[in-house]
Amino acid sequence: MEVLFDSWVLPILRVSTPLIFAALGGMWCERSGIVQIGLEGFILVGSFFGAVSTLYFNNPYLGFIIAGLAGMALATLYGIAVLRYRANQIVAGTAINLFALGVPPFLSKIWYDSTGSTPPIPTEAQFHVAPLYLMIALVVICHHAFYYSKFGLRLRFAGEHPKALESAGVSVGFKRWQGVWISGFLAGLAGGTLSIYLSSSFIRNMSAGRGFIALAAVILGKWKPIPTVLACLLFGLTETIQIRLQGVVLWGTEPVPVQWIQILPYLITIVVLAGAVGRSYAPKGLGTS
Amino acid sequence: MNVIEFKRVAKSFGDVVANRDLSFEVKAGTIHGLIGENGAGKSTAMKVLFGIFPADSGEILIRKKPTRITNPVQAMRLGIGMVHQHFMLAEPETVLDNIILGHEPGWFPGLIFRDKARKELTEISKNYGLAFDKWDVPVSHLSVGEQQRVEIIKLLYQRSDVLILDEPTAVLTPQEVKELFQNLLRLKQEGKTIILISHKLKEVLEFTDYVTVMRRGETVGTKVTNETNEDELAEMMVGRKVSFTYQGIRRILSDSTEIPSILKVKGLSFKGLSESCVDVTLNLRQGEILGIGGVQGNGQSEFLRFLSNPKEYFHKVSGEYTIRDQSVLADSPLDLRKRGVSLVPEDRLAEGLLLQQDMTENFLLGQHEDPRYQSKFPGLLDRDAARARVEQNIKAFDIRPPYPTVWSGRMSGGNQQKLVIARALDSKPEILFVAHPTRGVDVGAIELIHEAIMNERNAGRAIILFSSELEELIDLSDRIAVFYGGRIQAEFGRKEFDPWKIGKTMGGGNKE
Amino acid sequence: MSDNLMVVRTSFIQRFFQSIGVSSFQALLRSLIKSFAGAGLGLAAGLLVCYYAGEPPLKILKILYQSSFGSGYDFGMTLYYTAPLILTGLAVAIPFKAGLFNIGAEGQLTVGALAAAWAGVLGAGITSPFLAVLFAATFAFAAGGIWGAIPGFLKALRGSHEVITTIMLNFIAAGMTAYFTLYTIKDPNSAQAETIPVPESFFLKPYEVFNGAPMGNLIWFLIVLAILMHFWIWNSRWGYCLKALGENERAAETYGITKQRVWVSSMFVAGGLAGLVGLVEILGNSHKFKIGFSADWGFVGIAVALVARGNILGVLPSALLFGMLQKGAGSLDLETEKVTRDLSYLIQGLIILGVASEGLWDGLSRFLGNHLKQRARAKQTGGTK
Repeated sequence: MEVLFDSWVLPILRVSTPLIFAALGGMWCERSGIVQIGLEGFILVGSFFGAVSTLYFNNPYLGFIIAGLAGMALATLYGIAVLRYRANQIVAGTAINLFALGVPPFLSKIWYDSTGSTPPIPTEAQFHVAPLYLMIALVVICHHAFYYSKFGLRLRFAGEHPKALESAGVSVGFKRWQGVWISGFLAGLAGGTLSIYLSSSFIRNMSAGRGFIALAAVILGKWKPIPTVLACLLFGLTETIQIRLQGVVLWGTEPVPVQWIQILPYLITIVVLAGAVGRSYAPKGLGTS
Repeated sequence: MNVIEFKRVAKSFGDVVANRDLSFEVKAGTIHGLIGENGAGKSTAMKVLFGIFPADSGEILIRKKPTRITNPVQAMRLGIGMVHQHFMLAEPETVLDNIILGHEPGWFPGLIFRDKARKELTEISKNYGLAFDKWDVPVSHLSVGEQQRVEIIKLLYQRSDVLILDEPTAVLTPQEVKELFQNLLRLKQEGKTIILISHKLKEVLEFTDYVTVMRRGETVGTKVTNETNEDELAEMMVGRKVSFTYQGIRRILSDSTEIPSILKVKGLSFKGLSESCVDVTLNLRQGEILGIGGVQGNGQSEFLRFLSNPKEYFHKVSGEYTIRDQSVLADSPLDLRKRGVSLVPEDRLAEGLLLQQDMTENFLLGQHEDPRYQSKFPGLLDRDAARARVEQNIKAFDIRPPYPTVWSGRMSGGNQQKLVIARALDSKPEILFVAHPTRGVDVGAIELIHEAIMNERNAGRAIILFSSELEELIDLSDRIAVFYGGRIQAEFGRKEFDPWKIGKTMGGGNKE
Repeated sequence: MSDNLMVVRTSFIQRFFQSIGVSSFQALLRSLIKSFAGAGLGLAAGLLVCYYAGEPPLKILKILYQSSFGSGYDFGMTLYYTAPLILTGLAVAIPFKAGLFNIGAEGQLTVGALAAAWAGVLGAGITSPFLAVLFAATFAFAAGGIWGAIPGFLKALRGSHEVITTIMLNFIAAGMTAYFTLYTIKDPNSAQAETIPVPESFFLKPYEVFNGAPMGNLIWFLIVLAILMHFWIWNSRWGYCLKALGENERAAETYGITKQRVWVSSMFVAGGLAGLVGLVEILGNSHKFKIGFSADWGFVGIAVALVARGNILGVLPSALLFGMLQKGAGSLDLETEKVTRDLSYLIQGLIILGVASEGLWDGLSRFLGNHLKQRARAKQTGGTK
């Protein structure tokens, strides 16, 4: 039992943590009616600033919050382009991702004279288990806020039927801003878990497609909190399998190629998307502003 | 006491005047009908009251106080609520959530007390005799009639005293209509004021206390319902002078039975997206105009879509559809074109035009495979040829501005329509489907368009004319078929044309 | 029929305006202003960031310029960066005409490049350079095209949104090509993750003037290709269907344009064009497939198409602009203390945001448009409108 926990349950939960943070953020944003392709960028910026501020303050909690705020700051840039100046959401999201690729190397050169990584974070300033608990708390909070709070109800309507919300006297624009900010903050936290919790420094292109996997999880989870989290766990499982199967010979004489396991989450997403889950589950007002 | 008074209210959108002069009053605790033909400005009038469009001039008095309503929220606070034609309901969400949205019991930003809301709603439903209790069901599981009831409960929950219903019966079955009016009468007993927008005389006469008639953006007058009758109201609605009467030549059809039918539809039934057709049988002969009338939402739109694109319906349709005795059930629009069918679609902006392309490009739409417009090089189009035809049509139809390079989106409605009709006639079609050819078109263009359609008829083409304007149908058609509930309710030959009789069948009445 | 037609002559300028989708000179100017202002704002913001790093913006500009055009080699390298961007720019711009967002150019170019490298392995016996290049180009185009057509098919058959599927396919392409590179056609003589080099007959010879920069006749081919694509889209029936569907889906369907066919075909062509990046990289430059060779060309292609405002011809100057930026940024590592080549990511992102933010330029272009109109009116009365 303990072996199972140590070798499977815990690793899965650990690698799923950043996915869950980012996916829940993306879910809120998409539910408010704004397409969120920029998660990848928020994660990257979050993980960089998380590492930098943890190094600076020698305090992972402070670093974690600053990671979230950094993601939120980038989300604000996205929001200005999309909500204020009517930029196309997909184009702007792609721009955010490109922009975010440049931020860490640019700043790390100035601050550390390195090309895109930070010095290692001392062990005493690293997280050991806290983000895991935070993640579990976040899932509970998101689930409740989503279904049982005024905020959740109104945000859902902003994406599903903005006119109904507007005619009930609630500003759709502000709800969407809130959705964008939440996605930035949570994806920033996801970045924080990558650099402060799962490893001990920021390295170049640390997000490595997790933003897109998180987005895939939102879609597989039909834009609902618990199914989204389950989809994240599924992707966490494939990642764990991939780590554990490295160099393992299952059949024949060659080890299982990691590449095939790496593409599994994306393959699952396409198959499911083309199969059962169509567009019908997406919020009706998604992408219209 | 007057809850609402309109005093010389006017509203226009750019150059289009929607409401010229609205003056009427609504007494508290009554059902007040607001009737008029399509496009008379009823909906705009109510949207002005509800604050969706602020009025340009004039005054609105709410409970004797002059009030300027600039947004729906303000209207709601004044106790005015509206059930829109398109419901403001999010389908995947529960009924309860849809109702309480924006007025959730509980503390901000905390949790919602759904139990409290449920209790209150059950109370409301009981007090007003609405017999509804599916609070936790997603809206998508409800019938249209139930969704409408949810909209009404929403207004009651928001404590509205004045309920505006915009064409509430347009989407309902007769059974649901009956229930709706029972509910409305009960609401009146409980002291609510109801404004009912409609163009169905029968229901207005039966259920209202007062009725205000609108015509072309103006209020013609208000009557006590008990002291008026169908004929009087109809006359007020239509006006004495008919705005457009076709004066030109009408070639007499020899004996219509001698001419064989070129297009036949037999026993056609299918369920479409919003409407369905049930057992529709029609014949169309050369040299005649077959008018299709009916209240919007009774199956005509879907029928037209089927006629012009049967392939899309191939899997869900039963019955026959033949042209020159060949089945065309599997035909795509381009196949039909090759059989000499041409189309003027219902909604020219949504279905007919590429607004950011010039006239030549628009002219090629649907004709992009026409051999006349192919270049010598395979796969290329000959735009010079198309452009020359556009120049000719600009002259023939007096399209303005008279340059083929003008974007169709920058032309007026009338000129856009002329372009669409010119395009439909360009291939010298033998069969022509024309839908609402003069909707939103200025008077000058109407005459020209009618003449063009009539010329085609006189030249021996077979034409099906869809229109919601009864006058237009009577003016142009040789026969009129009326749709009601997806069926052909009645068919009239030219000698039997009588606006009142036809109008009666449009409302579901029998021919005799 | 044609005998009674009036002879209509259209001036060349009018035709040109029509073909690039503007109604008049003013409209052309307005859309140019939007692009330039957006790009300028992005660049300015990027330079401002450099100022924070302690490098004077003018110096950065000078480095960017010199590094792009300073010598034959530099210019050749600029063209080497421009060439893939022309292709990916087209790969985004063409489906966009039909209303599709191709975020998948990155995956399509990866698959195409691997196919080109594979063609070298399979066609090792081909000695004629012409046939060899044709062979590789066909492979690259077909592979990229099929990869691109998958999202088109999924959308046509199942209604899956192309943005999501193309993103997912990018990752799948990366994983799959990595697998084939490492396991199937790996170069046994190399410690790196790269494929067997293509035979010499497949090499595209660079120009001498470029002093070793890997660019030759190919650039002319690409320029002609872009012009032909422009001509084809504007004049052909296929291009007409594309445009009609992109502008008004319902109208196109009502008038008999099959949207499924257009989706699949336009995505096939787009994917094929992106796949031709294999020519630039495999045949022209490294002669083998290396994992991660692309400088995010697929994504920058979105920026290229955007700055070109979806215009096929506009892709050429737009690709050059971004090519300059990518090449120029490379020199920042050496020539400055604090700014690295990664600045190009910042600037590219900011340029896209600047150009995409439609609302930002409405006021400006309206103002300038009115100004121009007034001046035109002052000169002469009349004209269209």
